[in-house]
Amino acid sequence: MTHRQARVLVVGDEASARRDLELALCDEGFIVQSADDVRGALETLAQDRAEVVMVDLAMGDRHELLRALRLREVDVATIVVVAAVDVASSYAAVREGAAGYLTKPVDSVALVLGVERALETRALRREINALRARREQFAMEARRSLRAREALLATVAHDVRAQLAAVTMVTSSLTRGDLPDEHRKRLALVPRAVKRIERIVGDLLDIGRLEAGKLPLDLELAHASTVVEDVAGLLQPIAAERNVSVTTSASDFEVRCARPRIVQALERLGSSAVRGTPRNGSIRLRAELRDDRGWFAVEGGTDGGARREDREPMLEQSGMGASDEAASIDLVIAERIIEAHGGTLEVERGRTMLRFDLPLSGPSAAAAASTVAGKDASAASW
Amino acid sequence: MATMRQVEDERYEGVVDRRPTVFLADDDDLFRTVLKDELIAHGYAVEDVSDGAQALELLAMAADGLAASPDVVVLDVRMPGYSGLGVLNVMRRFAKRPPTLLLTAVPDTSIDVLARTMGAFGVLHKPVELDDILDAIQDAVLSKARRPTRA
Repeated sequence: MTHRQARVLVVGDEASARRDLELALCDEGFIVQSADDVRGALETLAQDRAEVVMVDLAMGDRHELLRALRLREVDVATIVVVAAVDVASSYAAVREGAAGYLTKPVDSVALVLGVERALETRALRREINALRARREQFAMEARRSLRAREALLATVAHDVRAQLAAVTMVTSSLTRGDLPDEHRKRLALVPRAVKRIERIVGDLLDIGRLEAGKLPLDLELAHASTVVEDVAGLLQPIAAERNVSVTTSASDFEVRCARPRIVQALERLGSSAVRGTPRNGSIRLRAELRDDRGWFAVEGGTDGGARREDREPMLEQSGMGASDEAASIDLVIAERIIEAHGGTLEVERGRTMLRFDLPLSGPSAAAAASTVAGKDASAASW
Repeated sequence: MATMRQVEDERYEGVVDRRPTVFLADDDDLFRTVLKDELIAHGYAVEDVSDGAQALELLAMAADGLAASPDVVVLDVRMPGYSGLGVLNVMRRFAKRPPTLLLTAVPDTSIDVLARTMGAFGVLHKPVELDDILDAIQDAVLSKARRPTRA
């Protein structure tokens, strides 16, 4: 829009000063309105929606008017007009949101420039406002869809478990009958498959909850070496099954975290590494203090399909191998937990190192309050 | 078979003088049917329904003395009509209430806490092994037999 179509409202209780401005604005082609008090100004604004208001700072109730205009600064930009000797009195108004000031007597170039700048300010404010509203809407939709997905996952998990219950019931019922040993052996495989499905369903639920911000972190001080030892203990059964040895090394430090969750994350990384390690191989769990951050690493093995780059598409693909599926879910869970703690997960290819760092003092208030879903909401002020 | 447990187990001797009755409410037909068959094979009499409203109606009749009261009640938590927790909640007002087991496919332990504060005898999480259900039902029957019945 060119300034020629712009509507300018002139407000002041001195008729002569007002008329000077009106005439100058008309000469420049603006559509000009005028008012001599606050009420008149606000009524005119409500009816005709001027884009710019010029306020004569000499008027008696200027404070009241400026306050009212501040509340609608998105709709209308304010220019204060002041006698040259009183220019300092305009500073407060500008600081509080006026788009600019002009000194009396106003020359025509300054007038046009002033109005154009005020129009630009107004356009920018409107754009910012619209973007902010859109961003809030996106954040809200994102939260809503994460919650909806979490709810869907919970329902699906329930139904899957209910069906597993029926399978378990039928299997245990069959096992009680007279069966050839061969059949009995095969039936014994069913409970193992059921357990695996249960774990996968539980994992999906955890991911859904983590992403919907529904897993609150109960923070406590955890000693790094006890975390590492606990995880090594948890990994024993799966490591023994594959004849993989698990060694540990940890320096002496404490980290503020939801301990069971961090143990869970490290355990998932560890079991992913164990699965990717050839028989008779070994993995090492390490915890170190570096640059005021706690480092936890799982070293060894091959990356066993756990490459970070392949993870997202893998989750979406169908017909993937069972071990790949397990590895990728392990990594997603670990990553969500680590991110909720304000840390980052790194996956090194080739040397197969999985590691993450955590702030020693725990997640910041903002990070703690939010997971993916909450992030946008916490950035509400620019 | 060695693993087979019968109600005629010596534990029941002198405690229950007839076939104990199990009232079973679960909307999953396969689960309910197989469990019912197993319970019958283990010497129980079973009455089964597939929704919460029906369960509540029959249990209320039993509580009013209009029907025989079961020795044990087994309720699935998520059912059409009333949920198992809803049924349990109403049962709190019954003068005579059989020991009640809840079955649930919801992994949340808050259900256990809630069910127990509402007076459930126990909570079993699906999927559950048949042995575990049989043990729980047996414990419930015995607990009822030992407890002095309220007038």
